[in-house]
Amino acid sequence: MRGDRLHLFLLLLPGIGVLVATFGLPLFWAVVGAFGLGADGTGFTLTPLADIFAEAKYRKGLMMSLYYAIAPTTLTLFVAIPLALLLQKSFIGRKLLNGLYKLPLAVPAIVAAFMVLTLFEQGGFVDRLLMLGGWSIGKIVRDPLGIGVILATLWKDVPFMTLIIAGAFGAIPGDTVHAARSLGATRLRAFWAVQLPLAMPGITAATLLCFVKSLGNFAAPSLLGPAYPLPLSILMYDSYRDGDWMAIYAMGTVLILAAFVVLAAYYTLTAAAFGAGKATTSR
Amino acid sequence: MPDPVEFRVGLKKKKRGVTAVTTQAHELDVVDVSKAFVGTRALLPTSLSVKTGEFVTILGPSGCGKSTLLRIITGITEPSGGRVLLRGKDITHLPPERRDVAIVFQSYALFPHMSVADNILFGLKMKRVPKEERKRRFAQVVAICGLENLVTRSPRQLSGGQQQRVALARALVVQPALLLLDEPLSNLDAKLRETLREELMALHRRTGSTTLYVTHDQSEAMSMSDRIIVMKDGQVVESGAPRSLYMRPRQRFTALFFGHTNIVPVKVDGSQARLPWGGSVALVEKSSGCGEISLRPECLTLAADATGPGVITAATFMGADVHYTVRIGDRLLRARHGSTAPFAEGTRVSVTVDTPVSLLAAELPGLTGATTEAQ
Repeated sequence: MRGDRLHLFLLLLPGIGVLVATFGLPLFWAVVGAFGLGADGTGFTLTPLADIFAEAKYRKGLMMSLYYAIAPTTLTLFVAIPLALLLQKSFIGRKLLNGLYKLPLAVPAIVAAFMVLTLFEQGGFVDRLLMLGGWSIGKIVRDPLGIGVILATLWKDVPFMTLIIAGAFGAIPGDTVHAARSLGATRLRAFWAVQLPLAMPGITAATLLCFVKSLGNFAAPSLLGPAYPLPLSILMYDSYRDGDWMAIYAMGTVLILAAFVVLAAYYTLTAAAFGAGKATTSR
Repeated sequence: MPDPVEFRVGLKKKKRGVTAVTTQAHELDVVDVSKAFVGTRALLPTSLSVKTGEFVTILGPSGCGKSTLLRIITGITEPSGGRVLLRGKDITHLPPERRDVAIVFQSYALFPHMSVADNILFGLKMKRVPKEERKRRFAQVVAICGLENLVTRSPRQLSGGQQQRVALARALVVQPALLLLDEPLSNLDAKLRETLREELMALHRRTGSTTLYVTHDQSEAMSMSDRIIVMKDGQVVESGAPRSLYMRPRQRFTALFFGHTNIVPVKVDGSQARLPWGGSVALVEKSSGCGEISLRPECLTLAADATGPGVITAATFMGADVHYTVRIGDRLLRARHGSTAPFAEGTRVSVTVDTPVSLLAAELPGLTGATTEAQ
């Protein structure tokens, strides 16, 4: 019996061991470090964590991080879903569009951020074009709403999300939608009742990946975002330059927790909206 | 075209148990419908019609355009030309949801995220059928299709045959003017296929629904249909009642597609066709000159005859029948006889034909000729 368990442990070690060593341990140290424990800790304390919620700089930083993650992800959904649906159709130029929309995937985030900067800065390319007509571009780079950041993130996320969601829509057998249509569903109702629920696993996965990616976004906010408040990702970098590891651990822990909370909320909401339809039978 | 009210009367009569077609009205008219995909022509201009309550089968090998035709009738595929009329109303350019046509796909296409009950109720909800009526029709169709114990299940938990019945129930419950079945049995094993074939026919008798069935299986087509439309290479070859298409095909393609046959050259003299080995066979219509006829193996009557023209070269015992190969000169004929008094190999036989036949057309007739009612 004991031999069996040892056997099993040794067999699983190469797989799980790598995960624990590369993912679990750093995570553990970050969380432990946030409480002042661990190798370079000062003993158990809640101060660094409490500071994040007490100090305006950190509190607003957390809000900004969430904003930079949720706003572009939500907007991306509204672009990616119609685009993914469009790609299911056959039309002239579909192949071209299918290739073109993926281009931003090949452009690194920092390059994308500089592109937005040169295009949309006041006095930038778009501004100068508008000037010809006597208009002027508003402040959308380093603006309080972080529009520049959202644009740059959107530009990177749309192809990423479209790729996954188009795959999810593509996996739905075409006849399922045709059956819904011939049973009296309009295009829109067939989408809501059949396509969307069936593609939901893909949409959920894409949303989560985009959200988590954007939560730690560094390039776009540092280049295009307002100087205050700064998101936690930049504050973490600042703390690193100051050698304040406790603050880094605390911010890291809070970001992870925030991600979990948002993800849990998202799962609950989508399960309520689309999962419930499975069980209920309104006759 | 009579107005729609008359059709409803016809349908009601049907439900009281009249199985024969009570009205000559056409439920469906397909007029010169064609479809060209990039580079190919999937469907040449094709016309056909289905009478109210009729069970019509489109039969043909894969790629003959039969599924394309069905998809055009449903509204999934836009035709390149021609018109589709349902109860006299032009529906060619209506979206699928505004046609009174339901379809059962080869893949069943059930909604995997809904229970069996929700699958069946889907159409009624989309068509905003009142709740009471919904309940009534649901109970009715569930009973007809034998799904009482399955309504709470998910489609994933069902066998192929059960899924097929759910797909049928889902289509029947909306009481469409026209029910389309796209090879609904071809994903099932042979035994289940036979059972479901009988169930389908019983269902058709009970509901009297006007049905257009698509298949590549000639035995399915023959056993189920009031009428068969044979298609090949995107056009209608011939149409008619199963028995007449089998026994008296007018096209070589039909003759061969419906199973084993002997294509025999004949000399025609009025209503008699002279067989190459002597003797003659009655023709259903008068003609003259030379031609070909199709003789089914079971239509050849063999009799032991020491001076007969044929020699049995092979005899295969098949249980109820014995299949023979008969050599007459350099011609080999297939024959089939009961197994009670079999002929031994080497027996000399005479070969006669008692059933009247029709001459095979030299080539495909013009499309208008091919689509006229041959019943």
